[in-house]
Amino acid sequence: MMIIETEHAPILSMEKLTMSYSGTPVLKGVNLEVESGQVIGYIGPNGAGKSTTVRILLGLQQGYGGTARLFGEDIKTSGIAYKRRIGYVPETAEVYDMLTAREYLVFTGGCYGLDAVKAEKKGQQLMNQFGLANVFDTRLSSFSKGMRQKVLIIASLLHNPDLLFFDEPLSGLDANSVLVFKEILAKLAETGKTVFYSSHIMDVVEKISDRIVLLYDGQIAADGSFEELNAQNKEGSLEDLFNQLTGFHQHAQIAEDFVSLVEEV
Amino acid sequence: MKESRFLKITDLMRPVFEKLGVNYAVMRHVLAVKLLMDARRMPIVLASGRQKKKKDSNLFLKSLWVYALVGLFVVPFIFLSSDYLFKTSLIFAIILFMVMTAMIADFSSVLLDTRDQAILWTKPIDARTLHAAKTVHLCIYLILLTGALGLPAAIAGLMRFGLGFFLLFLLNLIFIDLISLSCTTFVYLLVLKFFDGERLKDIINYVQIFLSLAVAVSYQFVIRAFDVTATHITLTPAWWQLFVPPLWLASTIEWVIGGQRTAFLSLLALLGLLMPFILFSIYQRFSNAFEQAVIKLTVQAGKSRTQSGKLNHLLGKLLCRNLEERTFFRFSSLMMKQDRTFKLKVYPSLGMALVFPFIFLINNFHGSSWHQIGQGSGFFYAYFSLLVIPTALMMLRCSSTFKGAWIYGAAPIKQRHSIFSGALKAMITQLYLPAYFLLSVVFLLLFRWTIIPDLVAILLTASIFTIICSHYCLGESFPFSEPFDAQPSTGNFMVLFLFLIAGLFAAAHAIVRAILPGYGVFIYIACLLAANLLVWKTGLRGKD
Repeated sequence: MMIIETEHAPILSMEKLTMSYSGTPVLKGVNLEVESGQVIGYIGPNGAGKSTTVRILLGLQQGYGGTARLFGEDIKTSGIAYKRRIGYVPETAEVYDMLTAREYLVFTGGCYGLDAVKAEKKGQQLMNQFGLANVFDTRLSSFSKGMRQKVLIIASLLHNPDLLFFDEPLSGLDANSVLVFKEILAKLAETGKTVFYSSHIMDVVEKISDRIVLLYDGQIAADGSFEELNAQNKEGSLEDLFNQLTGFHQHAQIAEDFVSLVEEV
Repeated sequence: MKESRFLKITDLMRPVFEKLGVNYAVMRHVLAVKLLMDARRMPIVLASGRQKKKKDSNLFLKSLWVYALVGLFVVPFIFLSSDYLFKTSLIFAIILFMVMTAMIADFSSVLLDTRDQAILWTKPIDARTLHAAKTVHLCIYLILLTGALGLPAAIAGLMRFGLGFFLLFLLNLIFIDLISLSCTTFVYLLVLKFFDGERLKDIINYVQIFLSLAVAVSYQFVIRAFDVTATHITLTPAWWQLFVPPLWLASTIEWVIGGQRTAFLSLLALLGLLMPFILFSIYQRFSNAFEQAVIKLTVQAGKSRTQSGKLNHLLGKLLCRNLEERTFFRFSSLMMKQDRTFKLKVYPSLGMALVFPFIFLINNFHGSSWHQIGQGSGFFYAYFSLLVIPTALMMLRCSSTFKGAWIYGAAPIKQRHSIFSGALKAMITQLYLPAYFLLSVVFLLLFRWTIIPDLVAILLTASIFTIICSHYCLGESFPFSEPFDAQPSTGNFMVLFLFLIAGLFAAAHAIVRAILPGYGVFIYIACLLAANLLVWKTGLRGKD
């Protein structure tokens, strides 16, 4: 019974979500429903409101309008228990970098109610998979950007969450790791997890997403699978599509002007 | 993970936390990590790649001995021949002053930590628990701090007045912690409620600066409350004394052991007993609101105003010899003006440099008229403006964006000393000169035009003093290349030591004036000018 119910109810839904910072509207009524087992590519130009949406869903942002539901419950009233089922990799890649990888993973695990021994063991196994076995006891402050990003990804998955928010999770990762991670995403979706993936790297989004949501100027400008979007627009890649939907055509001109300015010393 | 000893103590209080609705297991977990991280606050990543694990050491704990020394200086007050009220008022005022300053300058970052938001708020941790973790974290430090400051006096009191005094004194030390914690938080909460975005961050900065100044000035109120005559020191009741916390606390001691039980004193004592609890329960009540409000600090919205800085350009052209130096002059000016942490650490001392001369003037010339003051040599207090220099230079190596320092290595800089000279000149123009001019204007009104040469001498001294201080304060590190650490910015002995050197300059100035009245000052100025040329030419050569 329960299983059937949850499968039908959207795992995530936003209704007329609005938000403004000191009078300037950032979200102008976003409506979105997501079912489980999907990888959503959440894209949009800088300042379109992507981070704001994610912040609202994670309970970091108060004072928004409309309703946001996760796992069927309004997050304004549901308390904090829902966060146990969420994994998050922030764009800012903030960590407590005085800690070693082992300490950080045990700590985040603990925040999600994971027993220390278990978190440590799982963390170590996952680190091994990413080829980081030898730095398990090194402080994060001496990690390279890519290594740190891997730790963040592991930390977001330790507690086996049902819904994942990945904000630019690939930044700094080498090509091989990217390959592994894309595969991981697909597998995660297969097991019924929902991934909310926002990024500016269009070819990755194009390949991994079941559904692409494009946010532009605080509103959803396009929503559908890549094939669907492509059918409407007759454009080649997602990048072209992105440029078209956001009304951006001058890239060649800007590049030319830019370089000519560089040459003038 | 090695666990901190403090956690064993909080474990004992577990039922209390649970009664307050805190998820103790989670709080302990967060607290353990915070304490571990404090123990690791370490010199920068730049040089060290993957160093061997050094012994974890908490910088704050190391700096405690500095506070303990200040605590020793307080001890003589115990032996003053007066009633309990006067001496304990003074002691508590000094301790409260030190604690508040540390709270504002050093521990505000714990209260307003925005990194917590991204890392902890996204986890299933409720606001109350998070706030409790913060509170306990701060309380541990505050109790250690007041312990270091108060224990010497408490022990002296134990020997002189017995156990009752000792226990009451310790209780009051805890009250001081509660008062300073809740008051600071309360002020922050108000500010967080009423402002938004970039403006909020600016306002917070000004409030912090204002608070530390207010604390310094309000210290005066304690002394003013008493009538000091040759034989007796008595409290003269007035309504405003009801708002002076050290008086409350001292009154409880006086009421219990000293035996003075007038109606006014009883009222003060009652306040001393109740207010810490009232304030703390208000603090507790608003914990949720506070944590919600802190999130506002992470939002990046609104534009910060940029000034054209024409004056700065002009000064750069006037003061700097080449493009390189001018570049770093401008860069340093901007950094000093815009780094909020830097401002927070330095501006309070800027304020004190402005306020101290007047406090001393007024205290020393008790009862004499302004005209009489104008005849004297009170303008020597303008030397207090030099206090800005060592404090600013101690912080000059630090920046909240210290990682940007790679530019020093990457850019083809011909003369590395121009980085330093540019930064030092920027410090003088940005921080010292405004204070100096303000003081000069007021002093000229007070002491008339005859002191102009003396003021010029002070300005020239400041310039020499800057180079002297830079040797002790900056060392080899580039400006803005290290993170701010938990070291206290106040009560720093290096600053005191350097300020003594400034005192030597003042003494030299006074001697010249005494031996050669009239033209002596001009000879002194000429000497200073020559010294300036020499010092600026050679003083920074070592940096290349």
